[in-house]
Amino acid sequence: MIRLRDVKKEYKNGVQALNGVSLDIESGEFVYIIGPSGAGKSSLLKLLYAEEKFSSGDIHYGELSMKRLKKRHLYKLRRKIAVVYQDYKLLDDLTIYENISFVLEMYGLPKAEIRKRVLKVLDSVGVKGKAKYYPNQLSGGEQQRVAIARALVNKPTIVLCDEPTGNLDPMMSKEIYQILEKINKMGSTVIVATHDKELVNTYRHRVISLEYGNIIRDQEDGGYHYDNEDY
Amino acid sequence: MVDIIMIMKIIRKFGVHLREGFKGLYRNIGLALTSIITMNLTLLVVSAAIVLSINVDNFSTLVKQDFTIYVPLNLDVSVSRGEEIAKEFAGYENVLSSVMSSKNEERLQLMDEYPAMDELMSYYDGEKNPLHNVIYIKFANIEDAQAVIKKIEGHEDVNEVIFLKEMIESLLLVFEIVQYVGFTIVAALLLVTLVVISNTIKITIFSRKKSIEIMRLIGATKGYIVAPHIVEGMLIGILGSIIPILLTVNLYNRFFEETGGRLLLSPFLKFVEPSVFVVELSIALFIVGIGVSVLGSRRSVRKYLRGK
Repeated sequence: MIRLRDVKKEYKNGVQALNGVSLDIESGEFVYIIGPSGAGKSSLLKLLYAEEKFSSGDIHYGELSMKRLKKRHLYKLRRKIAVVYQDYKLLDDLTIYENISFVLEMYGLPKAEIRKRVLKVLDSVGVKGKAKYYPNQLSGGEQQRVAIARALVNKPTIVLCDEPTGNLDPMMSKEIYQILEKINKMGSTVIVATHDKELVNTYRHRVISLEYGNIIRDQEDGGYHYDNEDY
Repeated sequence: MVDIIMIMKIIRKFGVHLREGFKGLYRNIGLALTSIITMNLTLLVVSAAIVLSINVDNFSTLVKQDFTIYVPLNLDVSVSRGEEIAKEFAGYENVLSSVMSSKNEERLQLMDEYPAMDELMSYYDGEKNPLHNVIYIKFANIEDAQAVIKKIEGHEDVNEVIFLKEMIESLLLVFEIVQYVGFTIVAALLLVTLVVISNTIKITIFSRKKSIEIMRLIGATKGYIVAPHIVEGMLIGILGSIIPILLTVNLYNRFFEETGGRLLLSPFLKFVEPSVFVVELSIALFIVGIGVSVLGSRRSVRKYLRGK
């Protein structure tokens, strides 16, 4: 369970990104974070994967308080959380296989074990046949699948997605969402920051709407808007 | 069992660091070459300074060892009395040796060293010999010789005390200055190399910013992120020190052979034999090369990761 209590984030340039956000996310939930640009969606995700520090308040992962977590132990938390970005963040000079295997090399796993797990995860997102390709030889949708595969290979308990379909056409976006649904059904908590009205409305889950750093709506099975109208 | 698994994991990770270190060097070969060339030049100067320092130090020791005062005794002092006085002087504090040379021995030595004097001095043998019986004194410690010299000067049978203390002191001062200047240059150059390598690694880090970011986000420890850069630094250090080591050893060997091991054919200012120090020097250059590179790399990556 993730618990945020009165979390505030003010950047050094004075921008107040979050104004005392409090919320609970249960294990295995699928949550959309929506809101206009500058509402604080990305800041919230960055605080969740400890890319940024909150100015006040606290975030708990189960019993673990981020406030008390020492910097040198951050990596342990990050091994439980996977992040998927809008721009995929794949390494261009590595093949698809290598882009994923380097995550497992970090644990000192044997080559055979790495190979087995990489191919399995590539298969689960439907790009097994592209293992020897380089990222720039793949379509945007395929690259995002690889990025998701990289996130999954470590068997994370939480998957954070920052505008995962921002660069994709509706068809590809749908495919990515279906993969995220699958991941969620397998037990991982999935938190998606997005602008994608159609998908939020199609794949109904809990919606947390942010504006000027405040939660203005927290609705189970919500649509992109309260009344679900496109305005 | 658990230990074997842990060890295997460490070995595998080490293999990954090695591979990534080599890859990094290859990917940024232009920059790496800049660092290697800088290190080559620096270590060449460093090794030249060390060789110079070793030899200057040797010269100082030789000059100090060879510092002898020349004490002609009064003309009425006989050879046997002279020997007694030499024994007396030998008992003085700080005196290493005190040897008497009779006026006849002095005459023969003069004839031997200067063939032009041969005929002239052959006439002045026996009672006609105008030379003095002389005592040659060497000191254990040249710096503390002054007090003993004063005591010897005051001896009733001593005619005078002749030595080149001022010249020797100036020479030693020159040697000392040469060493200080050498050390300063070496220190400055090492600092410059450290900065150059640090900057090289900084640029390679910039080119690997994305992979470092991703590694951080997937939970790589700082050590795991830093390690390939350290390996890369080590490789630069190894490649940067091999040429200076080979050149120094080779050139010094040749130089030693060409000069016959003597400074300007001087009988007592000998160069240090290559075999005495080349192994230590090579190891030192190797360690300095790798040390500076690793320090430079570590500095850059740590700086980049600070606060992340």
